[in-house]
Order: sequence, then structure tokens, then C-alpha cells
Amino acid sequence: MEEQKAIARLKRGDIGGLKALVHKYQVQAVRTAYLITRDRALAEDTVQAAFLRACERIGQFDAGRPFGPWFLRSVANDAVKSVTRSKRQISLETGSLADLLADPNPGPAQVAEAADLRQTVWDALGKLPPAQRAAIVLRYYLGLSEAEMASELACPPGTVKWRLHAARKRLRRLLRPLWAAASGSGR
Amino acid sequence: MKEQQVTQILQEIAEQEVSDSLNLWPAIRAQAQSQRRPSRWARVVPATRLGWAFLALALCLALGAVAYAVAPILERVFRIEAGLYDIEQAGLVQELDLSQTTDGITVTLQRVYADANRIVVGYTVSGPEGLPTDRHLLSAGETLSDATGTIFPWEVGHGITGPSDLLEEVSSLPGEGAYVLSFDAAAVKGAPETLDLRLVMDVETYVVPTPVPPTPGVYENRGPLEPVMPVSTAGPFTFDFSVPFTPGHALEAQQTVKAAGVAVKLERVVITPSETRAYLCFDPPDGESEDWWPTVSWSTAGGQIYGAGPGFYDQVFTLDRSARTMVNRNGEGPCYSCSVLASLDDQSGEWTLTVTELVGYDPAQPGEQTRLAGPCVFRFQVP
Repeated sequence: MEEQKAIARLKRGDIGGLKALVHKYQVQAVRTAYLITRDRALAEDTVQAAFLRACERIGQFDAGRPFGPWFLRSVANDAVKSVTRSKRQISLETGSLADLLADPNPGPAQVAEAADLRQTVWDALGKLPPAQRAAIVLRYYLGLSEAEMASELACPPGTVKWRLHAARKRLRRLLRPLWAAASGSGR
Repeated sequence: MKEQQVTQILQEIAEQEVSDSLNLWPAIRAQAQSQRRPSRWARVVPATRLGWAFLALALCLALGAVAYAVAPILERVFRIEAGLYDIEQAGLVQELDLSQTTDGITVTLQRVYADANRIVVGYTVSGPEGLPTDRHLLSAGETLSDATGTIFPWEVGHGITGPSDLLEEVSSLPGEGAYVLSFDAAAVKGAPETLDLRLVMDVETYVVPTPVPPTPGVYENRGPLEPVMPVSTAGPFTFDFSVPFTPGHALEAQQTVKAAGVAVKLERVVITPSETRAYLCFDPPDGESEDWWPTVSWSTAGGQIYGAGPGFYDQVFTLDRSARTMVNRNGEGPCYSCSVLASLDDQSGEWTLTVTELVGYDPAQPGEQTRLAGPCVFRFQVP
């Protein structure tokens, strides 16, 4: 109810409504953007811009719907654009598939030596293109369905499905030693 | 490792990097205030399912019948507001014909104007031939700066793509649009003869869904409308141009009036051919817990009355609808600019500016307002 009041207030042009929405969603939004951009400052910039864009486009928003999913999906979309435009990410984006494949996957011994599982996953995510990384974040961090993801990534559900499939496949390959280790320990 | 672990690890990584104490509001508020502008696309992109149906119908009609070319529509958009109409009639608008094409999309800067209150640009956007009829082009991220790097913030704007909901019987052709934007010129130093400016923008393409025609007489609830997001972005489009500058005249009022325990100061009034603007300052009555805005009304020597309250331009209407008014906050400080968007420079004599009340919005209580009744009355002579 408070959220609907805030949106109604924002639709009337009252910026106080935006403040309430910022306080409610800023943390989750920046976390989402950070997982995609891998850059805290860029994530904050992206979310700030996304709130301002939401403010501009609030007239298009159906106040009967929850604001959170709509906004967080747009943040993910903006984060992909931001990281694609960012010069700091050019090396990742311009690297050929062959270059990435040539990057040696961590072997079991290396993984055993890795003290931080999170770091390993983080590194693996970093080797995905931003759009595939966004697909992983939307699916596994925000828990969206493929249909929900498609509505905000501005692409057909089939494209999202392909991105998610490609991202999963690559993640599995990059994390193969971990998956293997988990399977082995489960027996 | 199971995929479920990915979820948990992503949460751990995110929580480790971004704490719950994050507070972006001060930065967002500063940006919102510097870019404070109307939700203009709400005017041209329908917000309801009925709106989409109307738009689709209007587009079909536009394809098969006579439609205005883009340039005449720009003239109509220009005349939507009294201030712009006035400067056009006075011959103060400079005509340009600067075009740029990127990815098949052409932006043409056609009209410019500048005075001490605002800088106005009028431009058209056209898509490539054969653009599907469900595509709409909207400019985005418009930035105006001068040779010194000063960026002029947004003030107000209008635009048309598809049928207008303000101008009757005006509709652009599919893939075309016309826009007039005003930027705050308060940052211009002195009274230069001309301003050397740079306008940069992107153009976003939106897909407008074609709804299934409703069955006559049958109400069908089809659920909420999906949000509309751009499918592509072209640009940047960059225009360098010079425009004559009209300084108008500034009156240093420096009057302070107290009401309801709050001292309100009228610092100055700037009168130009396109806009009349007063600069007001007051300290927030309740610290920083509430977002305070003044509600003002103007009475000119000619007896005309204009009123303005807090809020965006398109939510504010005047007693005389031909001249719109607005209130903006200037930066982070407790100062506001209160404007009448019309040429009032021929009304010499005593004017009155009245702050009728101060309205505070409590962000912790959405919908709640605190109102401190005025009035604070300022009188000043306009030569």
C-alpha cells in the first residue's frame, strides 16, 4: 500500500514519492547491477540513472503492478548497457571465444587450493559476456522466470532462453571441476 | 556443485560488496533537481491499454490519410506554450537546418532561441524508410552545454510521436517525431551577444504493441500492460550552433517577508521575452525531514493572475491556461525559481508575487503533507 501511494505521488510529479522507492529498492538494485557490471561505482551510477529514468517513465507504469520486479529488470538491462559501453570492460568484450576457451579452466588441484568458492564463481561469471551474466543474475539472483526476463531484456523469450542456456553451459564448463567435486562427494 | 549454490553464492557476493546501509538518495535527489523536467513521454506514449488501441488506430489512419509533415508539426508543438508562441511572433526564433543521420535515423535541429531564463531547441526525428509502423522514435539523454563546458539543466519540454493528446487532430507519420525542449539558462554569465552551444542526444526506438481490437460492448480485463522499453538506441547525435542571446532585465528585489514563522526572501526577478522568473529562498521549517515547496501566485500590473504550485510542469495549470507556470528547486540549497512561461515584459507597473503557502512532503509518510499558510506578499516595480 505504501508503495502504491509512493507511485501515485510520483505520478503526480511529487519527488517525495521517488524517495520512498529509492529507500525501498536501492540496495537490491545496486547488488543486481554490481553482479552484472562487477564495478561498484558503475553499479551505483547505473542504479541512480535507472531511478531517474523510472521517474521519467512512471507515467507508463501500471500502478496496479508491483514496482520492484519492473524496476529491477530495467536495472539489469541498463547494467548490461553500462558494462558494454564501459571502456574498462573492452578487454572482456573484444576477446574472441577462442581466447576465452584458451583461458585454462581451473583444474581440480587448483580448485582444491582455492580457499574461496565465491571467488571461483565470481571469476567464472566474469568470463561471461554481460548479456549472459545478466541472464544468470536475473534467473538465479532475482529468481525471475524466462518469460519475466524476456519482458525487460527487450528480446523474445527464445533469445532469453538461448542466453540462459549459453550462460549455464559456459558456467558449467568454467566450474566443471567444482561440479565434478560436488558430484564425487555426493556418492 | 549444484546450480542452487549459484544463487546462494551470488547473494553472498552481493551482500559482501553492497551493505544494507547504502543511501543513494542524496545523489539521486541532486540529479533529479538539476534535471527536473516533466514526464513528457507520458503525453505521447499512452499509459493505458485503451491508449495503445487509440494509438494503433491513429497510426493506421495516419498511414492511409493525409497527415502533417514533420516540420509543420514542429511549428504546432512550438506554439503549444504562450512563451514560445510569443517569441515566435516577435521574430526572435532562429531557424536552422542542421541534420545528422546515424543508423538510418535522422535528427534535424530546426529552431533555436536563447534568453537569460531559458534556451529553447526545436528538432525533428525521422526513421528510415520502411520502418515498421509499430516503431516509435523518442529522443533521450539530451544534453546542452556551452563552449566552457557549462551544462544547462532541463526546464520543460514537449514532443509528439503518433497522435497528440494535447493538440487536436495532430498526428505524426509513423517513425517521425517533433520535439521542443527548454533548458535553464541561469548559468549564462553576463549578457553575451551570442551563445556557442552543443546539443547531444540519443534516439531510442520503442515497439508499440498492436492490441487485439476489443469486442464492441464487451468489457474485457486483459491484465496490466507490460512496461515499454527501448529495443535499440542510436547516437549520439551532436549539433554545434550559435544563437543570439536576449538578456531581458533583472530586478534585484532583496525583500524578506515572514509568515508562519518562516522567513521567505525574494531575491530577484528576471523578465525575458519567453519567461518571467522569480528566485525565492527560505530555510526548511522542519529541518531536512520534509521536502518543502512554495505555492505562489503572480499578479501583474495588467491585472493578470498566474498561479503555480509544487510539482512538475505538466501537472500545474494556471488560471489562464495559455500561460503555464512552474516551480523548480535550484540545486541542493533552499532556493526555488518560480516561473510564468509567457512574455510579460510589456506590463510595466507594480507587480505582486504572493507565496500563498509552503507545502512539506514527508518521505516517510507518502501522501502526507504539511501545509504552512502564508501569505508572504512581495511588491515590486517593473519598469
